[in-house]
Amino acid sequence: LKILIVDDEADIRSIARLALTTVGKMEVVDAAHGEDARAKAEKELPDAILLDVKMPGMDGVATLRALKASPPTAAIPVIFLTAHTQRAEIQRLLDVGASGVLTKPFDPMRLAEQVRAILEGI
Amino acid sequence: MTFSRTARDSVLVLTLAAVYFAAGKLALKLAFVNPSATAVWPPTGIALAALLILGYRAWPGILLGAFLVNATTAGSPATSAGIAVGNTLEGLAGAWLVNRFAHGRDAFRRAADVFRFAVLGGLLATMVSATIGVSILSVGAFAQWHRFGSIWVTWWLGDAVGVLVVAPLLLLWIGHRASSMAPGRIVETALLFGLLIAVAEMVFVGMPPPGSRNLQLEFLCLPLLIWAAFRLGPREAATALAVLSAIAIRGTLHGRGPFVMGSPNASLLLLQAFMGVIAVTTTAMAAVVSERNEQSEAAQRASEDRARAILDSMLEGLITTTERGEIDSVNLAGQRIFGYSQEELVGRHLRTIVPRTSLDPERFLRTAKRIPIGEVVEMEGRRKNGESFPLEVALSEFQTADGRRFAGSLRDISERRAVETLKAEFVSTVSHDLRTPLTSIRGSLSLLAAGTLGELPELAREAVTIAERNTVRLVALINDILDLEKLQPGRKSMQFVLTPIQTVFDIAMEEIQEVARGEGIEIEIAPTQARAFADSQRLVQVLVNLLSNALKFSPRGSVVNVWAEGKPGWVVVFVKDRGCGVPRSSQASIFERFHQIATPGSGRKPGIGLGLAICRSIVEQHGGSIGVESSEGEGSTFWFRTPTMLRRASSPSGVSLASPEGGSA
Repeated sequence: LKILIVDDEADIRSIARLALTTVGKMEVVDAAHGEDARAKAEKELPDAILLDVKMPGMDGVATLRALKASPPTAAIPVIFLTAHTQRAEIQRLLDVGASGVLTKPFDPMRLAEQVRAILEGI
Repeated sequence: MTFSRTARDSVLVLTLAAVYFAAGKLALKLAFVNPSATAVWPPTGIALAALLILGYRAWPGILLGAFLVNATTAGSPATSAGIAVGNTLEGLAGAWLVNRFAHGRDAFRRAADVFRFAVLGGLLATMVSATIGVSILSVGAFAQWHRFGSIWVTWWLGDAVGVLVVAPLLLLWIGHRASSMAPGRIVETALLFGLLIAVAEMVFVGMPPPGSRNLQLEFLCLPLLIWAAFRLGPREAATALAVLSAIAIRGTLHGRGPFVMGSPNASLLLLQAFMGVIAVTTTAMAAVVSERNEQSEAAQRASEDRARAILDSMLEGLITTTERGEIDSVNLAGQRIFGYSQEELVGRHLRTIVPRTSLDPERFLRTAKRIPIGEVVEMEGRRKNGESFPLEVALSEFQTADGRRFAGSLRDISERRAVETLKAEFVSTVSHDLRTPLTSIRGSLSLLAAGTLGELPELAREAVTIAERNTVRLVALINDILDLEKLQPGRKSMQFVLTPIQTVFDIAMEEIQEVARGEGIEIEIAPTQARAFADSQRLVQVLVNLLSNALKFSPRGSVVNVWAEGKPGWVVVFVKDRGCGVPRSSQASIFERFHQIATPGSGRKPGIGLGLAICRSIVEQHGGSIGVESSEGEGSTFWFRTPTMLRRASSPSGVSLASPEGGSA
């Protein structure tokens, strides 16, 4: 599986990459912001995108809309990674078209497993 | 200034003289015993009223008027001047006595003053004029000495009745602002005067001519005068007397009515005696009634003032409405809250300031009926400037003489709301900002501790494991703070529906099953049919919390029991463990925030200290309570009870130490 990680925090990208590659044996590419994510997604065509919500400039929701609006990336499942744990917020993210929502801080030992579970559930 | 005052005084004096003169000339047409002495002498009443209203400085008007009347009637300039002096002295003496002993021009407000006025101003002072006048006439040979007595009586009675009938009329009408009358009162007044005129005409004018037998029907006038005195007031009573007097005099002069005697003068004297007596009686009665009314009005005003002072000193707004929702009164705080004045609000519909009620005023009133006194509901208010704001309202209903009323005690909570929102945003931002670095820390530590990034030396792994465990605690703590913040009273985050408790059990079980298995503890759940009016997700949260506590403190291999019991109006859920128990001293405080039970030697994961506080907050917002029964070393039974129908949140102090069957502590 190839996963695109999008987060403005380099440390988060590193940890997620470590967790997915070592525990989940996945292939990982990353992007630091929304624009970068669109370019990487079109170029790499990952199996899923792990997308941060709160980012400077184009935020997670705007990035998701842009990805869904572009035919080459429209079908790629997007999983949000959010630091907000309120039910209402999670529901809002699902409503805009996310395939799943994972909350921060995530458990690195289970991250790959959770991503797989979401992809299997689609 | 001085000039204009003098000029004004001159005008007053001349006017008074003219009025006196005209009334005198009219009255002297009824002079039968002597051209200068008549049984009907209204000028005395005019003179006394003028001196009481204008002051003693009005005396030249009387002197001038009296002189002119007499000089143009009979006698010499000298006798006329003498009589005029007598008339003037009579007025001054009467005015002085009435001012001194009967509250001057206010004599008709109290019955005692009415009697003093009648005796001093009516009977006593008039003797001055009669004595001086008749003496001068006799000395000047305009009257015979042997008729002194009868002329004196005629003179005196004419003056006295003039005072008793005319002075009250003038004093009560002049200088008192006419109050506007209600339509009903106007009708009543018209009816009374119509009847009075009809009866007086019948009694004093419509009677058969002399020779035939006179019917003594004058008493028929009394009920009407009493009616005027009781229902309409002193002014109307005095007017009725004057009207009656005028008709009676006219009738008697025409030789009709009950008082017709041998001579016109005798007839008039008898009539005047009658008029004098009923005048005093009627004005006194009117004074008593108005005095009583004034007293009760003053008492009512005082009590209203007191009530208003209390209402206006309240910090909370208070609005009363009629049954139809029209605003009856607003206190100062209420005016401040909404930005309207009392005048702008009274009479308008409640929807002016609480727009939501515009949908259905009836609904608001039904709501008012349903909410017991002291319970608080939230509504949206609207200020005069159009701004909407949150209101806390406590409604109550009361009965008045004018019908049912509703009272709403209001508090503007917009500021509190703003602070709450700010706090919520702050907590949310802080916890979000804390989560991001924690994600990196926790991720790194977890990967290290799991050996994913290469095996660590034994001691290093132990240290990393401790760090990881505490990072997880820190994350849980942040979650709990957010949770607790969300659960603050006043937040409408809960959705209450009729929830089967079994569903709550099942979902909680799903969440905790794995942990229980890991701890080697069995959770036994007794099936239940009970249902509660609750937010099911929140109840699951409470149950999971209680279960994870139970698991935390239970020995491996033991059993944790969960069951529900239905009580009237309540469902009680129990979680029983076989752990170390909760010391009696901590049983109340474990539900406080950041309280942890010391578990010496257990070496178990310590609690975070917010879990039970969150449970309590949730249960209380359901209107329920939470508690624990435990003996040290013998395990604990935690319970919470939640209502089977909607209730308002219980007070924030509602941790119960009592048994779940009883009320909360």
